[in-house]
Amino acid sequence: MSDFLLGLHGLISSPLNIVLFVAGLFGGLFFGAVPGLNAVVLATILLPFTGYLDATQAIMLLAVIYVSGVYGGAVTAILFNIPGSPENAPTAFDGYPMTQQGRAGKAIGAAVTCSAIGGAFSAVVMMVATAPIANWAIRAFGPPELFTLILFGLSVASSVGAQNLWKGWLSVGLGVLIATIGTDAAGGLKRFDFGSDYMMAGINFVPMILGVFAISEVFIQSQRIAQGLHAPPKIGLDFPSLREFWEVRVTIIRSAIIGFFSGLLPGIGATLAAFLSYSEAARWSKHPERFGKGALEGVVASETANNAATGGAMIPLLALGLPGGALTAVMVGAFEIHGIEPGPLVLVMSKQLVWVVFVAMFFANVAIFGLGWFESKTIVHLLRVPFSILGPTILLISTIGAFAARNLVVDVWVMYAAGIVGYLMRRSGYSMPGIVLGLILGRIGESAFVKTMQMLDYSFLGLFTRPISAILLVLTILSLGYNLYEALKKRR
Amino acid sequence: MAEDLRRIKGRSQLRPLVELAIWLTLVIGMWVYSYQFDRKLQSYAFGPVAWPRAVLLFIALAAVIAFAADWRRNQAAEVNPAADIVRTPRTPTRLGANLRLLTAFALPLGYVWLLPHAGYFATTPFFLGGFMRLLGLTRWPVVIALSLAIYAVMLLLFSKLLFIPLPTGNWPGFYDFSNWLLVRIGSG
Repeated sequence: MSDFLLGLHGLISSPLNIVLFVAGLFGGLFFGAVPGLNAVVLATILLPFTGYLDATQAIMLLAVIYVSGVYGGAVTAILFNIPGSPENAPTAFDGYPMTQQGRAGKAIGAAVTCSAIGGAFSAVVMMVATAPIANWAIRAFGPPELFTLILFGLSVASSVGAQNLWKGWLSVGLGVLIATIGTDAAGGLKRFDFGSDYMMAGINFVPMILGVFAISEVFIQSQRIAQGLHAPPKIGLDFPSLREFWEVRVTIIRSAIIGFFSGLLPGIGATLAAFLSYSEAARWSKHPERFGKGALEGVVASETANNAATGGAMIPLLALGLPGGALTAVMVGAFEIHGIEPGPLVLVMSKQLVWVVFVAMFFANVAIFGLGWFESKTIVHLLRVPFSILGPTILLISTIGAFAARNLVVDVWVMYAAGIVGYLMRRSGYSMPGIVLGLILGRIGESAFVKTMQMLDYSFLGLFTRPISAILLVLTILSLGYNLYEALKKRR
Repeated sequence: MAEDLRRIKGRSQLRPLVELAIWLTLVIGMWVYSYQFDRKLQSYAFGPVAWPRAVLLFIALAAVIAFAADWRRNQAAEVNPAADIVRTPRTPTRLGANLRLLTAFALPLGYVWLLPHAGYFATTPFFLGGFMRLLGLTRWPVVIALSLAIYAVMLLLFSKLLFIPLPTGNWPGFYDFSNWLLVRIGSG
């Protein structure tokens, strides 16, 4: 309780903190709601500017954007069948048919309420569980455990978001390959620099993320406009009744638990959470045939889980320094800008920072309910703004953000190149989150692998002599095997 | 119908082949380049090439499997061709749509090329207006007004409030214009 009060005091002690909290809340909701933008885009654009804030303010701002943005992407998923983020994709499976049936308000109402419930649940668990996990992590987690955890996370990440398993593998593999550009983790030798000083520093992940998410989305929407396939949304404003919520109470509870534990995985936590929760909801539903045709339960399952994953994703970030998803990967960048290494020591050395973030995330989830209801009546109408105006604005903001990271025009070139490649790859069914997570986790993974091999005298079997790394290796093999089995079963 | 079948069949068989070719070209190219930094390290027996080469092998394997899976699916489609025909809407302006898409790629790239030369401050309103026109905003007064409005908001937000340094250009005249504007808005 005293820690909670410490965080609350830290949050409200400075007027600027409150301004940033409110700005992050609205910014995340707005960016998550607008086609072509999402919370990751906003966080990435703001990342270079967080250097002007203190560390607590910077991380708190990104955390609030994370919470509100994960919900915000549900709106475009429901209204346009365009998920704001990958974790909102299952929301579109039933949310968009509900819009087509004139029930958009019920879908958005269910999304906002269940997002608030899932997020608040995970925030409370996060406040209680992060410290014990951090204490355990210092003792139990070394480079072998870190390496096998990353391997497991990448194996899970490769199964989600792509057209098929093989393209998921290729997406993750490409990200890991891009991460090898620069210098090697053991001796600092130049790798794949092609004689360029820029390449020697490695590919900066800010322009990469902007390119594969924001720029590629603008290109996709531009294509739809060019082909005459772009259509304005229908909006209905009814909220779900209490009875409708009561009927899906089991789905809410199950999805919150699935979401939280999925968020713990250092891979695509919220995306996996949403897909897993959706499939479990369909499996356990009395009317599985309604899923995909406008079942409220589908929206509830997806949105509860993806917001519950936000608290879960903060635990590996704060306890181990591992990002749980794309936005937490951006938070790693914010930590680096302020010279803080995320990991178990953060809970000891920067206790107030951690608790300000926890408290801010809790209140952000509570605020989502009120603001989400408000948004469903007002901000949603902004979506009528033509993409012919939104698109160029997105490109401009992204250009500024990519340039501002290191004051290099080369970063802007990288962003647009990533955008074009991202557009082509998305059309071919590859996974953009897979590429980004491969890029982030690849760097950490190689470093952990080098230390592991040095520790274990270059014996791979040594990984099985340590209980946690052995379990994680077995889980990785099982995960790959299961994904392979599912992929082969689909082909028959 | 027969023409649709031939067109779709040809395209379906070509795409996996093109993707495989791209992946293998990437793998082979980077594998060959890796010999440039293939050195022994005292501190690390595997050296700097082990990890990237393992990743390249993984990518090559996944690309071959993906190709084989797509090939088998296409073969199955040949047995049951009717099921595979997806009638995509053939809009009369398909060529126009492709040209617009190519322009959507080219315009930002042209803008980025101009940035270090002509500067952000001189080029941005034209980029905004051009892209709005490309996306279908046809009335010139509206395009010009919106471009200038968005440009002004970005200028105030990033240059005046946040003091973010943006390219001023190095071509004669453009550098002077950029600095004049920055002084005028009070951030130069």
